[in-house]
Amino acid sequence: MLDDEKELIRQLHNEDTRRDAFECLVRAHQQKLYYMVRRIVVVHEDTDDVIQNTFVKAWQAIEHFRGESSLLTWLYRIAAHEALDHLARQRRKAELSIDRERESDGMLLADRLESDPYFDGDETERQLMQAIDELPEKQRVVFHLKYFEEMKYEQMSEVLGTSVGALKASYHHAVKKISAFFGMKD
Amino acid sequence: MTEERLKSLLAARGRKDKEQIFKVPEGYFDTLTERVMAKLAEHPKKPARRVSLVPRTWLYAAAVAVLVVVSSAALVPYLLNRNGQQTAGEPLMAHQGAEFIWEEEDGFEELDYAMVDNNEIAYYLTEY
Repeated sequence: MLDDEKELIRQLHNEDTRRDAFECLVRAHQQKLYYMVRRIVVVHEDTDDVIQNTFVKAWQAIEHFRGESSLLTWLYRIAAHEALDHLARQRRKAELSIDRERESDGMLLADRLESDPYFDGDETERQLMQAIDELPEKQRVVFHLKYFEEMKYEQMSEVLGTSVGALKASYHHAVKKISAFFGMKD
Repeated sequence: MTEERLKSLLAARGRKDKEQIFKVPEGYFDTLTERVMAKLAEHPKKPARRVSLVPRTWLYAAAVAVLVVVSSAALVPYLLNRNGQQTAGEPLMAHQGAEFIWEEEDGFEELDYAMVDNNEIAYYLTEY
């Protein structure tokens, strides 16, 4: 652990310096966390909610942070769980409103992204997002963390609380499904 | 390897790969920290929860055990009392029985006195 981080943790544990230290923490990691969450939940407004909730949860639990992982890994962990919770809530909402809001919810993600002003990808990227969107929620998160964040399995294991073996299997299945989506065969 | 093939396919199609494909509203990150810090005031830190080292299921089991002991403590004297009443009843019945026997004995005495005279007995004994 870096000396700077140790000092930051010391300040976070001190009630007098906690608020300023937390502001430094937010400023330092907000962008990285935002893009990690954005790839998972896709829509900017939803990402904004998830990010704010992530930092609120971190603030409420900062006293109990023991430094067993880096602060960023700890924040990734909270953000990943918040993102998964968001996806689960979204799925439940979609299931409940399938008849009433069929027109908007039934749209493919790729089509929605075409009209999203905050999406800057081309057709292939839209298709990739669509392929990822069709993965089970946890596989989706594993794929993002490995493929886009290039996170090591050991760190991912700390973030998601899943064994390295299970993560490798999950990533393997995700890649196979995405390849199949693009019509690729082994 | 499938992953390598997927990467090369995406690259061949002109994908920007790890480049940022998501945009944010202008100035978003400039204000995010302030908005987060403002939100913290709405969510004060929760007091630290006391975490029991004893698993919750054990607590439930202990509660059931206490309930059983307490109900037994209340029930046993009641049952004992009931048994006590029964045993107290037994001597009563025995006493009643004794009275009955006594009455029977009285009856035999009456019978004895009424039907057999001592002289008759002496006669009976000497003649035979």
